[in-house]
Amino acid sequence: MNRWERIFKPVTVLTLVCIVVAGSLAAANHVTGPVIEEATRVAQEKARLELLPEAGGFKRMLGYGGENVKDICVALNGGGVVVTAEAKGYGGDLTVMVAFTADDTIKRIKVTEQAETKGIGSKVAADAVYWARYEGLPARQLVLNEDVDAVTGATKSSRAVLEAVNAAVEAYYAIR
Amino acid sequence: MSEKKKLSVLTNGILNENPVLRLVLGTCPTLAVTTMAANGIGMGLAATFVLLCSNIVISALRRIIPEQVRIPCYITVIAGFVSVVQMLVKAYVPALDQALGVYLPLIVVNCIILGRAEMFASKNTVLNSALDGIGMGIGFTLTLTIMGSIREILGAGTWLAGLDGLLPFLPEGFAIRVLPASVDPFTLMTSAPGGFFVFGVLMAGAAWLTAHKRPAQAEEGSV
Amino acid sequence: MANKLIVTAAPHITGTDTTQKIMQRVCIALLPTLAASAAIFGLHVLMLTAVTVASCVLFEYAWCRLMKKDLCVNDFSAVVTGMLLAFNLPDTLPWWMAVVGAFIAIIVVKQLFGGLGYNFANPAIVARIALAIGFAGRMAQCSFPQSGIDALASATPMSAELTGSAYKALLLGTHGGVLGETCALTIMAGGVYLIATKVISPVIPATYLGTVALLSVAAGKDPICQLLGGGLMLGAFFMATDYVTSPTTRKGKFIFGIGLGVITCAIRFLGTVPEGVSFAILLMNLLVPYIEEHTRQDRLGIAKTRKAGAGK
Repeated sequence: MNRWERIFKPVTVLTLVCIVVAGSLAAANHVTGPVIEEATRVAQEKARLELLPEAGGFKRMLGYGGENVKDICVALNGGGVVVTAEAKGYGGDLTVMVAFTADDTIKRIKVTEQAETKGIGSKVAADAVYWARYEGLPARQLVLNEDVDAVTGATKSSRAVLEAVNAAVEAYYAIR
Repeated sequence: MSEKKKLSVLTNGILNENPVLRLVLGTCPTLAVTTMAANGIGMGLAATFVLLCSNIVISALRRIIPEQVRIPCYITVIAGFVSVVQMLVKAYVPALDQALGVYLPLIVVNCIILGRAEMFASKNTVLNSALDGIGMGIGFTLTLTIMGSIREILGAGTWLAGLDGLLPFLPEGFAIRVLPASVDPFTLMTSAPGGFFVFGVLMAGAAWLTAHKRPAQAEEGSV
Repeated sequence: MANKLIVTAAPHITGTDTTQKIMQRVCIALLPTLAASAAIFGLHVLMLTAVTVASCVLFEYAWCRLMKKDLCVNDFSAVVTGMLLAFNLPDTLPWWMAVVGAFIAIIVVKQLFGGLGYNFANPAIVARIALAIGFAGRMAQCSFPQSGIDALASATPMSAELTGSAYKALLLGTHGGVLGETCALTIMAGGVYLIATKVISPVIPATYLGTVALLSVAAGKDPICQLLGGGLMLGAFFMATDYVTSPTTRKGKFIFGIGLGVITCAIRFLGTVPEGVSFAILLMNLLVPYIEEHTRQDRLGIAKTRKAGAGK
């Protein structure tokens, strides 16, 4: 095998393959990128409206530096605030959306992302019946098993949801 | 004669050399994704698309790609196709992306695709490689669907729940209830132990079916 | 007609025990607990037990016919598995779930691995765990007998605090739980019968219960409550001592018992589930091949040769 075949040809071919593949990926991204962004935005807006249907629309509040809080959206008509907060659960990060009404009450919560154990932690993180326990609670720092009961065998998941809600409460008061 | 051979290349991947049950490739996504039949179908179709495309490209380039760099080249091509599929799915079928989660990008290391590239596409014509890709893909999708159906029916009592993610014309929250609501489903089936058990039973079934067919095939071959 | 010509190696003097006789003795030992259970929970207990035993026997018979083996139902081992499985079920369990359990115990754990003598773990225990995970809601629903004492009315003893007056309840079994674990008195009686008839060796139950008692005291819990509550008695006397899945040498049995005690206490005190006996037995069953390897009995004459060699 001469030098061309031994060294240069493999390198050239591999480089060409990489360039072509990268080029096609860039093209695909160019086409699908905006669609994906739009779809995520719509989904998030839909989730917020589901929690606070009275709000006509939302305005994102920037500048809050609290950790664990991903997003704060204030209702345009002053009807409340929706805060998206995170906490570490049993199987990974938990993302919770908390809707507050103007009278400082928690209206509803919704867990949008979770990786808890199916059948145990999912009884907390994926069960709307458990989330309903937070409805109507006053917006203050809540205590596990006092304000909201943990589910037996899913303490870590229950605590994670509570921590996320508390982080949201902190953010709610901070932006006022 | 050559038509028959082409047909056998296609049907090979369905039972005789079923990639999951006979070649035991791609078991990780098989076990993870088959908690629901709809997820199995979605994963199967995505993987089939990638397999078909990568087989065609690799077969077309088989005389150009030198042997020393063949694995990096195959992986780059496969990864490229998987990324494109992932972007398309995220944009147009986001529910499937949610359902498959990390297993969609993991198609890159799905042993079936790299395995067929190495075993078949690098040594055969483009047409045969395409047929092999389709056949293997059909076998993969069928296996995933059957396994997903068994696990879903026994473990959750429904069938094809979530199919509305793939077929948007179906109503949201679509599911066919198989077990009546009063019958508790055996939730062990949708978790790991049940998955392994169903996998084992299906492998035994596939082995039994191919063992019975082989004597008949031997007669055909000798003619 | 199969075994008319018997060809064996020495020794040719054998005892009169057969698998069938041993299994029958185990059944006899379990009968008092069955009676107590019926008295505590009601007569439907007998139907549930009958259904479980019948399905175990039927599955074993069907398997033997399907695989064209000789009739293997005669040795009563399916009956024992059925009774032990039934004792692990709550009395409110729908019958078809017990049948599913029987399928798992007999077909999956026992026959798929080669039949009696080849199971890798106690079939009843694995079936119980599978049911507890797969039908979690139903398996946790034990009913509470009419004559229950207030202290125990809220939950099973393992998840409640107890005072001294409740010991009688624990002993007699007038509290909530699965069929076979409540009446400690009859279980102990059955266990003593098995030890007296030399069906089981006392090493495993003694080491198991002893380790649990010691660890309970060390952890500051009430040892009597720990010993009498939950499935410990049933597990120690009837499930951990299963011939196939426990070590053969005395040293091995010792290690087995200690391991069981440690794991049970770890799960009960440190874990989130209230009952650790079934998982402890399963885990130790899996370790038995390794225990056997390390406690292998030396062949006769080996030690002498080594000593003689060292002396030179």
